[in-house]
Amino acid sequence: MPPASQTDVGWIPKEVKKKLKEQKKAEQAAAEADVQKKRLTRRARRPEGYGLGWPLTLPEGDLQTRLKRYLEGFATGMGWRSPRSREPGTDRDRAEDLTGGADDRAERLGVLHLSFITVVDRVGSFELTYELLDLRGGQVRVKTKVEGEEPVIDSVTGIYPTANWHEREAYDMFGVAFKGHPDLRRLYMWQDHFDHHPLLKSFEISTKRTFENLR
Amino acid sequence: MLSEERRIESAALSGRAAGRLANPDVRDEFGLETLDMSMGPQHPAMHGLLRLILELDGETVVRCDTVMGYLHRSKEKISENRMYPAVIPITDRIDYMNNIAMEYGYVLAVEKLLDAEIPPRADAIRALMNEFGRIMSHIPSIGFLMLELGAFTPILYAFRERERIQNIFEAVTGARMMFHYIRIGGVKADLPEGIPEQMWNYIEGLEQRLQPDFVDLIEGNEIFIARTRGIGKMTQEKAVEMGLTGVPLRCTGAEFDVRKHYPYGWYKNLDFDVITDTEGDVEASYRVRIGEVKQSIRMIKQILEDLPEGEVMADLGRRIRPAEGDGIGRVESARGEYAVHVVSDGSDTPYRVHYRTPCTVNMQLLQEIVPGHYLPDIMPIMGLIDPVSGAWDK
Repeated sequence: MPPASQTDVGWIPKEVKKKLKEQKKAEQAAAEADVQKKRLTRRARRPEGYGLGWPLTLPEGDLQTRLKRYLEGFATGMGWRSPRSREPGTDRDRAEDLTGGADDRAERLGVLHLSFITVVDRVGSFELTYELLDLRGGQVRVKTKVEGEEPVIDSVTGIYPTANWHEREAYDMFGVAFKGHPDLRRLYMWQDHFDHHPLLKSFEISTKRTFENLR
Repeated sequence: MLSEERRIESAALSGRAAGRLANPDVRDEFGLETLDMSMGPQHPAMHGLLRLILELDGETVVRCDTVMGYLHRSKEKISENRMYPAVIPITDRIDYMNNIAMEYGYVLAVEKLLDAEIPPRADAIRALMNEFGRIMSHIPSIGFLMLELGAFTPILYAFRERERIQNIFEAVTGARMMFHYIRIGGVKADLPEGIPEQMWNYIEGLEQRLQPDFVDLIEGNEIFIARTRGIGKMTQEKAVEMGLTGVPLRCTGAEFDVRKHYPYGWYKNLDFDVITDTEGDVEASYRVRIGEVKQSIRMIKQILEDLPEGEVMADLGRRIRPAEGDGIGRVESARGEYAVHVVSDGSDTPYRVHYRTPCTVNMQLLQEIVPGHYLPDIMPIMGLIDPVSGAWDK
């Protein structure tokens, strides 16, 4: 007769226990492999390149040909049209209108990503630099000049929705107005009671440090 | 009841609100109103100083408007009034979780202006420190995400790791947070004796600790899955359209990494993978971060194994005075593509410095994907973007 502890309902012989353990382990491994397989197949089903939903011309050819194509796109004004301009903040369909069709234009241009917009105050005129990337090693830098004290330029939010806050920042810091921007407010400064544009050269601060006045 | 004036008023507030009101007809029928609520700028769970103007329908967010600028210290204006080397400590304070990358971007831009040649050892040390900086930023951000979900343990482990890396940084740079280590033409000083071995030991230890202390603790947790799976979900098109970079872009499956596709410095010689995930939600961003920490470990090992000998500073003269023109330095910081545009007019001070911080751009995501989520889901979404107050406000 086995000892008292072995007559319990829960008692299982050691060999059987080992076998059960192995079985469980094998089941777990199979389940894990299954999950892994599913993950892999899901990955395999993804289309090539970015796998974007919209029909996008992926950057092809070597860097020179790609850049040439982009520059041609800019020269012919392709995709560089101002979106419909309306009074800001009144039309409810506005945001959708602006983003709709943007893919087409970005596709024709072949440049996917607007990295940043820099405004430089050249005292009397403003220089705007648009840095564009195709996310695959190609980059395009577009420079443009706007004359006048109160400059106005077309917004690019229709092509690159990400330009929204870049343009808001430029407006905040330099007072450059963007025609067709869906929501042109200040980004950093106080909206109501601050009338200055602090990055203008005319906005002076007291601590300019140069090599000469070091001592 | 939501009157017509009220709707117009809210539309004027955001410019896009009217289109976002969920089922306005139903609300009219039952006489329900939405509630405007301000979250922040001082909020215990918020990443720094950020105010979100929320319009709530019950507990569902209908509209989310981001108000920032509470930590705006006008870095760009200050940079215009300092000499070129004196701008580096200012860049340190932009993204205070990942300072080394901030210095690196600015220095690359100035070096492009100067057309300077950097000694290979300096390049390797820069990449080494940059990868340590990435680990130092990614691991606490995983901890913060868990803290916001109510788990207190991971943040303690995360800060233990950060502390140990800070000790290494202290030995190398002399500072624990604002390093001022990468200089125009090289780095401040060579690695002290014994530090490469210490780094190697630490990295080996971290590799072993990563699985039990972070992955095993977090990944299978039911609460973690319930709070993060499917939250903040976005498509690749949306991510590319919004100009996202870094982890938020890669967790949707788009493969873009500045280190890979626009290589700079020592990264041309390194072998590493760009980690992507297919889901595009908060859980995916966590997986991508863990994967990137592993890749950083791999890179650090490669650099330490093959650290070139020689000088760590190029001789560029005492007075740095680039010719007219502009230079752009672009690096992959822990949060995405960080670019610095320096415009020179041939004087001692830069004519214009523009910082493209990934946080500012990635934060645009909030107003796009928060509507439709529950109020408590905002915090995990913030964990997905992982913004730093100093970086979005500049």
